[in-house]
Amino acid sequence: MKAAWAGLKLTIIPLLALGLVVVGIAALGVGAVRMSFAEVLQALGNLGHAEDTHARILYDLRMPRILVGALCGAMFAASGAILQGVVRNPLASPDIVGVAAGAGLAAVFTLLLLPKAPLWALPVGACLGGFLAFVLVYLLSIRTGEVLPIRLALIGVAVEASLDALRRLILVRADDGVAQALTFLVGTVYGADWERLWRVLPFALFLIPLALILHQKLDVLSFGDSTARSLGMRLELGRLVALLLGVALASVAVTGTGILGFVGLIAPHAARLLVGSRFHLLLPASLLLGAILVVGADTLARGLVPPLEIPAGLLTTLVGAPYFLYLMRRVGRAR
Amino acid sequence: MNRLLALLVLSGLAAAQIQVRHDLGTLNLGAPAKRVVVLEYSFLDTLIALGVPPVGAAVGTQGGDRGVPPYLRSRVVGITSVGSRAVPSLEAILALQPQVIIADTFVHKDLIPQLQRIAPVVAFSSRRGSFDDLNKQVLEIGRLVGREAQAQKLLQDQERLLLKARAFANPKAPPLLLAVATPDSFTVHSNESFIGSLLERLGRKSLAKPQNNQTQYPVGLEGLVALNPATLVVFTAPDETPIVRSWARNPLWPRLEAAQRGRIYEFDRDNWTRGRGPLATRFILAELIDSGLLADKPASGAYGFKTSTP
Repeated sequence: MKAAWAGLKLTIIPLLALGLVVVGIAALGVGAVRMSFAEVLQALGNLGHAEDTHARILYDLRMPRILVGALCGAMFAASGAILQGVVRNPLASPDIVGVAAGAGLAAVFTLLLLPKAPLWALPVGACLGGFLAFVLVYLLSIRTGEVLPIRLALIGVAVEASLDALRRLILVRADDGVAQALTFLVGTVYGADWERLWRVLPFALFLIPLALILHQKLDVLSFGDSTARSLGMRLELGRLVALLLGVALASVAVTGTGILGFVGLIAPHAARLLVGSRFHLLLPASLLLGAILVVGADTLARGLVPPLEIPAGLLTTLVGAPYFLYLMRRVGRAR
Repeated sequence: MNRLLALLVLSGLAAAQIQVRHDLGTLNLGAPAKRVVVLEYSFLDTLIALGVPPVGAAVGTQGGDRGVPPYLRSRVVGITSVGSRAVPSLEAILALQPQVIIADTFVHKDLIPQLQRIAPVVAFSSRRGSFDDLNKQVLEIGRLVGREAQAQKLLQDQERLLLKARAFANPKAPPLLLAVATPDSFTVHSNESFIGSLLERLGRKSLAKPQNNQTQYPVGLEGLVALNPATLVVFTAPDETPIVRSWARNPLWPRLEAAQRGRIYEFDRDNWTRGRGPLATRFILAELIDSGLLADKPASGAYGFKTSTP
């Protein structure tokens, strides 16, 4: 019975991969310009022909959008899976260690201090800000040379709130152009192009395989401090590396799509329900679910009331917030 | 034969002479643009006034967008919506196969690379532009669609109307304060905003100057009381309950000089502050004269401020 379930778990990964492909293909046909499946196929055959409008829509607009969404969704989800494991709290997500507010504050500073900076400076600044905010959380959490997960989570929430308040305070006095440029923080795949994909891809190609290689270490960390120690792990170093990896994944994803609310929370959690909490399955499942979630949300976002564009982050938050409440209630009951 | 060929070449060269100067540089076109997509209402107004309506316009009603201003609605026929002004649908624009896209320098700053991949982009400062800026844009847009003469005529006619309206203005009238009131904000439009600079042209000074380089900025009830305008003009929407309705119940409100003088006027904010083109200007001038605002007569009837929602 158990073996059968384990076998089933293994088939879940290819099933999810298949699901992602299906969602991706469906997404190709959805948008302000409606295309049937046959038209999509025909346009795919015509890629590169500048005079075929359908082919241009597919190649210039929808394909990069789907790929950027899938990649960033996957990275948010992997980040969430790692952070939930290390902090040993199912409610942990990239937002909770300060990444979201840090990114937001840094974006404001970038806009105010470097108004003439090129367009890519904004997401890069946001990425650095997310990282710095995490370093702050981590340093504040160190007590007698160690970082307890519960301390990290609580201080993370406090830092997140303070940085967010600071950002709003600055915005009150800032030029309205700054507030306008910050809309990308809502989390949206709108306007994603190949250039943005090439900006994110190298980091993803480094960070995602790294996380997959480290799956055993992540398992050990998620077992708990005493188990990890008794297994001979240098606990603090291991935890720091894992946290940095999680934060790096989320920060890079922010440069692609802004902060997509709750993807880093729901996707790994749902993955854990499907394949359990061992990282060799949890990570791939989270990556795929995160990608499906974001591509699905963005497809809905452009297909619901075309030609109006709804930020995908709004939809993921709409799904994520009730799920978060449900989780909180369940975690509360388990006590 | 040779002469004919030379003539053809020359006429070809002449056709390539369309040059449109805009905020991002100069656009050179071989022939007047026929398929244009516009991302601000003023460009829509201008093209309709020139008789060359755009193929697509950002006239969606999402977020802060309220769609085509009422004064223009009956004239927007057969123009495809490409969504909202802030986040227009790129594929809807691409599908229209435009020859040129007209964008706002400020609103679409981050979107210009994406738009340029679809078609050449011409950018003007519409949202933050003054009356003079917007008039210059009418000329450039006229050049863009091969209607330079019409554009000049539009502006000359407008100049005549302005002179006529100026005759109504009371030169001794105190400065006025212009502001857009939504359900949750009160935004002052300074003397360098579109509507502020238009009224200055007509001889009515504005109380508010730009702050921090912003031609429009929010103010609270206390700020309004501190400014204490002798004439207050609020722009509201009939389908909203603007914040000034609740302010009017505050004991401070009747102490405003404008309230005591009966000089609080109310106009449609979509018509007065969003259109910003030649057609909008014509509409505004008519209401300006009609309301008695220029002559500094007490506000009454349809243009008088309503203290409660009708």
